[in-house]
Amino acid sequence: MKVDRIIVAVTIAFAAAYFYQTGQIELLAFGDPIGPRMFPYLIGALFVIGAATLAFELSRQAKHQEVNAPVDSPPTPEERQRTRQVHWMIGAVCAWGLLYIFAFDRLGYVLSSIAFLAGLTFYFHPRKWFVNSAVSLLLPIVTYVVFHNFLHVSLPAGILPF
Amino acid sequence: MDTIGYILEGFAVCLQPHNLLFTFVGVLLGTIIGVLPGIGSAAGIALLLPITFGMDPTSALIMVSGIFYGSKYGGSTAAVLIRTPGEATSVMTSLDGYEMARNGRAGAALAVSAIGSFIAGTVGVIALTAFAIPLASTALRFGPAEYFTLMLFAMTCVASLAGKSLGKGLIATAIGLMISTVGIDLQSGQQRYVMGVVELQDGISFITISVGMFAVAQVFRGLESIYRGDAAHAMRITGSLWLTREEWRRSVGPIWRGSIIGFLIGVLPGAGGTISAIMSYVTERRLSKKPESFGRGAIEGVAGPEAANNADTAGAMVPLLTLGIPGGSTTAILLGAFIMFGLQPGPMLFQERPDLVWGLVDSMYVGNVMLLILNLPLIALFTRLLYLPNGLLYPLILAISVIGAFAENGSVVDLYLMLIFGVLGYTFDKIDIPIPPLLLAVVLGEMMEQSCRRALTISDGDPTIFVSSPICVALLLMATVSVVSPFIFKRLKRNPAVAEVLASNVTEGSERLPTK
Repeated sequence: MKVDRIIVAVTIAFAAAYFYQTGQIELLAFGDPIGPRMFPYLIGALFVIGAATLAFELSRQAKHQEVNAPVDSPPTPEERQRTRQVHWMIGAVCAWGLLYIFAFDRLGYVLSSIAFLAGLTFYFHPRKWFVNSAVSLLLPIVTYVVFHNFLHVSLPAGILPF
Repeated sequence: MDTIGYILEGFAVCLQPHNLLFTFVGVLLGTIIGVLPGIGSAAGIALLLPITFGMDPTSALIMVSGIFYGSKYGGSTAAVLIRTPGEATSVMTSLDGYEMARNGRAGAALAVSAIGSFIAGTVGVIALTAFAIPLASTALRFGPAEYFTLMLFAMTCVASLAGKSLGKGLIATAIGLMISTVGIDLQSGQQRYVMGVVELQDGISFITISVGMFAVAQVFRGLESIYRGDAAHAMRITGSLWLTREEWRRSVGPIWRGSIIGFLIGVLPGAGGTISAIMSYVTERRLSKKPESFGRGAIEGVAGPEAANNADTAGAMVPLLTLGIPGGSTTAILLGAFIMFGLQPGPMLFQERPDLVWGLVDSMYVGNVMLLILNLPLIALFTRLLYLPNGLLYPLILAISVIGAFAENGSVVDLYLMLIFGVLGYTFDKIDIPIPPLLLAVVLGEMMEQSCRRALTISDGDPTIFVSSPICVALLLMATVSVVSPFIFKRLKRNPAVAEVLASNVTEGSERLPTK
């Protein structure tokens, strides 16, 4: 419920910003009678309708819960702690991903992918040194060869000479 | 050329050796994706689209479609052996299939899934063949106003059915439409919402969005389950891999009923395979003389839903091929694949590229036979995939996602966007904002805007053009009904039979109930 109320507020604020941004799109003096703003204005209206519908659903839900007592029990301190740890873990994976993307066209696909995969597999699949090393080395090399040579999809070579 | 001629021409295309090979590769990859819990056909297709770059469009689309219906076959394996559906649509199979496995009948559960899937898949393709030409001929009468109202109808259906809340469905649709407007406006040439980023002038690639929202977000959910230590463990296949005479007798009716239910629901936008499977399960329980056996290993509870979710895929291809309108996230990605190859599904495609359309439809007959062969004798081989450590699997998916997002434009900006959409997809899943309406809006947004502007240009700005034809009025009325339908579904959920099914089991799967 609390999260849903935040969604309503954020959507309305976002819709306002979207309306403002749409108003900044330049119009042509001729040749386009409908213009590039019309459809985005309709989308902005849809944001508002969505938020209003969600608010209406929340009010109905609140009335219903007054009759039927809430059944959800609040999370225990251990659960909250675990959830916090999960958020940190996801954040760390994203940071590792950002570093990978940063290195992607500098070091090249193969080297950056080997490092990226090694980091993740050694953390999430611990104590399996041989398998993790083999997968981290082979996947980038094999996919590079397949995509570069057979599918003609170019992946950055980076500092490697091929 | 008459219909029979087109069908024969389609067989001539799909039976060419290279197309047979791509059909096989597609259904094989689809089965593998279906077996792996949680990945799903949408993420699978998004991930594997880059391998079609440079391919002949007919072969590529035959392969991608093979992944779509192949994944439905594989989805039952994880549902039976670990009670976690590999595909969300197999959620009902996990109820009785897992209980059958515990009773030593895992082999029979997997066999009836494969046979039911084959019969339903074939029935579905026959119905698709029968419906395609009449519907495509009707669609030839559609102008911009009709197309706009048709897309509006598809979006309202998906927004209202693909989630727990209509409000959140509408917000998701608005986000998708908003994303579709990023870039240079095709008619005026003006930049919209590019925020000074040159790479955004061409818009945001739908592959980047779908890989992020489905594959990367699924990796985050998978890593979370590893971290929490709640990953499922697979049971071994025990018992004969064939049905007894009694099991076969009990399965025939549910398979036929499931085929019809699945196809009809599949044609409707937004409903999808999960709802088909639930409807089939509820129907079988109602018809059963022993309803109390459901949830305790009743083979009817496996045969019906598996048939339904496979017939649903053929049903979902009807609006996609004949009208160019996808009904859910996987068909939205398929539409994206068509567009990527410079093709626009719809009535004109039937006239301009009958070889492609009928080659694709006929390849589904061939693919279903291949899937039956793959999924009966080789099922033990596929179940080995369930023992693949998740700690290895998810990093591999992440690495392949990077190739998928980078390959289309060769731009690192797409990788940053993929990561952002991955975080958004993970967050939206936590706060119950449905992804299918968002993706559908991304894919249809540009076409919808162009149809709207063309219609208004024709009418000199008069909005009554959208109610000027009976087709428009009918589609608008249907859109209104689809907005009201969540309230009908809420009433349906109060039905004791449905409520019991939903309350007892649906949330145990890796995906939520109403997603397609």
